[in-house]
Amino acid sequence: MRKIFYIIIINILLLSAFALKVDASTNTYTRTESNLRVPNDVSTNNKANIYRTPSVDEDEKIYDFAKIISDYDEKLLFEKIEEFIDEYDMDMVVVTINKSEFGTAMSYADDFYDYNYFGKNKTRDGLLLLIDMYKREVAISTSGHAILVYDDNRIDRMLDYLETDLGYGTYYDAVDTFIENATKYAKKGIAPSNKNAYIDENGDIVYVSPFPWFMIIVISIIITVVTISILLSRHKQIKKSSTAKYYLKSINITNREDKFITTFTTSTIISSSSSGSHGSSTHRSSSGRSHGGGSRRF
Amino acid sequence: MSVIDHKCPNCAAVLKFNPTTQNWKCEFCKGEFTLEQIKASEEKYGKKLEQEDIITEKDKDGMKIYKCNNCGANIIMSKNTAATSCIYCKNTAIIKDNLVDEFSPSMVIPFKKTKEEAINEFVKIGKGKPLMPKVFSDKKNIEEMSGIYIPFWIFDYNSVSDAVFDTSRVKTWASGNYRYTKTDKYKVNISGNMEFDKIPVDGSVRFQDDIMNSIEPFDYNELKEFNYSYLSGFLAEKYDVKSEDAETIARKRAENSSLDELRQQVNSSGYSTVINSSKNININLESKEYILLPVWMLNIKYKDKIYTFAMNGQSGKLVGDIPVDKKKAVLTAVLIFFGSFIILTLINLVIRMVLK
Repeated sequence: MRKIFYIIIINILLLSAFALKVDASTNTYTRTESNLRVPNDVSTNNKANIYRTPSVDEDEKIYDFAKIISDYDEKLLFEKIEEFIDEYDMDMVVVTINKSEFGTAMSYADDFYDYNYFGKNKTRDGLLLLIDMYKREVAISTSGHAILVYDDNRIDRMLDYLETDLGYGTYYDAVDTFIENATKYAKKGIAPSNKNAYIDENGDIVYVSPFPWFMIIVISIIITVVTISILLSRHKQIKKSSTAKYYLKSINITNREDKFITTFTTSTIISSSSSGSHGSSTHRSSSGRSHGGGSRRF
Repeated sequence: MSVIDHKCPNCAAVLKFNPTTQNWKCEFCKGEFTLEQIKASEEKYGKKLEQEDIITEKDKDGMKIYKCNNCGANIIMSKNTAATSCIYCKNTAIIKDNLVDEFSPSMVIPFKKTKEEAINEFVKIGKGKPLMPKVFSDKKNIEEMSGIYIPFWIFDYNSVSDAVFDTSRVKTWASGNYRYTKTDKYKVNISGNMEFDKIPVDGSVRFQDDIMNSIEPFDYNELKEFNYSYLSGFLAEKYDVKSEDAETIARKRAENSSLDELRQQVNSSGYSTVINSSKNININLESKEYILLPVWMLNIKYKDKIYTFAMNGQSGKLVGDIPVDKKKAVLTAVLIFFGSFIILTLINLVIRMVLK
């Protein structure tokens, strides 16, 4: 009897130890005044935001605080994320929460990325997916080179997929499709709408004015044609007069009647412009860094 | 036939009209006289310097020959010439026969711009016209300019007009996802009486009507009662376009303007579209006059074609169609193209260097 009890105790301990090991993925570290645990290049002006953002182990990549993904699934997803990171030299992070957090899902996603050691290279290239179960909102935050790859159009399409899957509650599928889409676009490279943009050393997106050779030639031709036609117009000065306005001495309107005949109203649909070449819209997080991306409710 | 000249009350030399002072000047004794002084002198000392039977008429080709009363040279002139000068001694000759009876102008606007002023004005014509051939700015060519009193008919009209206009007011606004356009249609009946004062029509076939149109308007406040004296020192023509023919042109202008004025009245009430659907315009001739108006004329030959320039001798308004020097045009176009190409390329380089 005692033996059985011990076995049960040992089993429980073992299980709990195992469970602890698995649960380590959501372990957080404490930030202190002396050790804020933020990357060196991040401004520490917004202490409140830093303290409220969990400090995590940056190698885990999946932080399932809301516990909506099974450990087995997490492992599968982790492998795919690692593959993505190796292949495209961009970081990828997935976060789920179900507590009420300050700010919007977007700002939480930005802060989570900024105040942990995420991102490749100097410009901290990478993207973060946040699923906020409390607000039922999903957000993608891009940083560095990822801002160029994931323009507004691509972010919109990725959010479309996420919205559907999350609406059905198939969280694994949602994250899996997200990784798949992110890979697809990363393979295509920088979005066409961001052809004339680059990321500067501060991680900000900068647009270079598009001024290719053919544009220069076309503008030169226009300048030439306009100038020559202005010059030529000065050569023609003789014009026949067909009226005699200058010689009008007096005018006296003797009768006037404005008769209303009919009225009609037509309506047309205002077509919203969907040219799809806006590039990437960026915003600043509490740390002052530039992020791209977007969010949506599900 | 007779030729008239005015002689100086002091020294009996020939007098010439001075556009700057609007008086007459004797080029020998430098005396200057008003019209009244000349008239008084002529009354006192006998008639004007008038010589009979100097002209020998040659109907052939419509040309006439006259013998200069100053140097005796034979001068050939057109049958319409009313005033000219001897090409040898520059002596003025006013051909009286072309200025009497039906050819007697009732009024004249004397020249106000001197030949020097006209030449200086013309020199400036090349300003801002780099494509103009060089001959047009050559002072030697410009000095050929001559001051001519051109015969004009002027017509006064009153018009009684009725017109109907189809008009509309369009309002657009957006609401929700729709843009609405509301069109209100109206029919406007409008009638008006108008008076037109002194619409001018060139009375000489030799001068193109559109050039004469282009130097309008003349300031009729400076119209003077006609006197031969104003012609001294200038050329003059008599009319060869009958007043009836000229009148149809003036009438058309008055008609067009009458409708325009009514349209403008309707338009000023804020309609979006104004379309004339019917009109009834009666133009009544009130009076007509035969007058002489001052014009500086210049012909310049370029590539076997003659280009005519005219300047309003009163206001100084200068018009003429100037040909384009094709070589210059091509060269300028090429220069502008490469100039802007180089500048744009440099700007592009600078932008790239600053941003990268």
